[in-house]
Amino acid sequence: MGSDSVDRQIAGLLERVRPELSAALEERAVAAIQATRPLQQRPRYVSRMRLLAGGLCVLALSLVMLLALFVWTPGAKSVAWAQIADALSTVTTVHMTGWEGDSDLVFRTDKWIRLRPLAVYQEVTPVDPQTVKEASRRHIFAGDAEKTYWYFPERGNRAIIGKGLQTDFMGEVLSPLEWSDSSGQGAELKVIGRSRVEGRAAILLELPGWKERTELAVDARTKLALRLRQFSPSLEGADVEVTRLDFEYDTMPPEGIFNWAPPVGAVVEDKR
Amino acid sequence: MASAGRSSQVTELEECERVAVESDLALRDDLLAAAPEAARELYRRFAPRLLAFAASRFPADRQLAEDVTVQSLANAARNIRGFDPRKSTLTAWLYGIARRQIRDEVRSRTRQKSVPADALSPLDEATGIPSDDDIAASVAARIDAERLMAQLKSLLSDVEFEILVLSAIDRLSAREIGSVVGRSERAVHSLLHRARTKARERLTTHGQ
Repeated sequence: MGSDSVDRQIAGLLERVRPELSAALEERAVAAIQATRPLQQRPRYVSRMRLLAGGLCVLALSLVMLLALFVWTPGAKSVAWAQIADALSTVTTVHMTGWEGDSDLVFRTDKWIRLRPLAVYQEVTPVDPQTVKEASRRHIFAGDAEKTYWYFPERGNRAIIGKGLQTDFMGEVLSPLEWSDSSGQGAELKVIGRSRVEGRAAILLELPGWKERTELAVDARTKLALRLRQFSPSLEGADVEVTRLDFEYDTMPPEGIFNWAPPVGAVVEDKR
Repeated sequence: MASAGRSSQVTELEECERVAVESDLALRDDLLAAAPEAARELYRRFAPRLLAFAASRFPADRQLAEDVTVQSLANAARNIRGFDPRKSTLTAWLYGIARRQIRDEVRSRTRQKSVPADALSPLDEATGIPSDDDIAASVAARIDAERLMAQLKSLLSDVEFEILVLSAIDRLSAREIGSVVGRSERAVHSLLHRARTKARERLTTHGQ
């Protein structure tokens, strides 16, 4: 019995099994076909193979992400900023002293208050009184982080207090977002080594891409800044180093240091 | 000489295929335009074969075979825009729809309690009843065929049975059958060979 014979026998069987084609069936089928409207868009079928392939892709992607999560340890460079920012967010005030190379100015006290109302006080002692004329008295100034208003006689002893913006000095120095205006975007803190600063274990970081070469030492344990050094090119060409040391956190300023009363003859326009 | 004969055969074959594709496209366009005769044309061209295909799966349930055929034709008309002559013939595409319909029916029947086929027969079929002798003869032949079909079905796997039926009803090519059952041409050849071998043994035994 050949394959044709098998097919013929099967066809014969089907003929006997098949119901008769009746007029009623024809009318019913024609009515059903006419009652339907062709879909306007081609139906899209997702084959089992494609579904399986899609599932495998999702699985592979999940595994890669999971792996990346384990590999991306907190020691990675891109996490350094997040750790420092976290540490900074827990403190209210930053207090530091230091020295500035180009003006021979020594910071006795420099305190940035990270809560409103913004206020910064600075007490400076001139190494060379001839160079720093105003340094013989303590200044209290207020304003936002970018514009600080001083009561200078040459400006008519007029200070304008703008809306107090919360400042975050360390954040501004360190935040990669803040660098975007002045330097390459998306720069990361670069771990350049480990050292001991003020007797404490420190991680040394560099802020690459910034206009001033900036080196930051953070406490290896608390991730709070211990030292900040900036090297700015001077007009003469040699780098001028600005170093801020002795960071203190959450040390309250002396009582009465913020005196909003203008000096004699000065006027304050409060636009807050 | 022989090569000339072969080339004329090839040309005839190509001509047949071209005519078939044109005919399929014409019917598709008529259905899309909801032409009055399109529904009847679809029924006349495909209902006998689809009905035989459905009956092979439900040999003892005429009503269900008819329902599957009607529903398959209606689904084809609804989704006619999805028919792509570059991928398959209209016949193979319709068998694919019928196959899915049959699978849905089998699935729903396993969930429901089945209703006896007799209870589903429409009343208008009771008219024009033939004589008792004719009935006896046709019923006997039919029961015999149904039994043999059921035996073949249990002997073969689902896909082997489907491939055997598609090959027998319509003389579909291995490629067309492959597009209906979702197998490669080579796999269809292999399955068809196996199915025919198994069926041959059973049919020979039955003939004796």
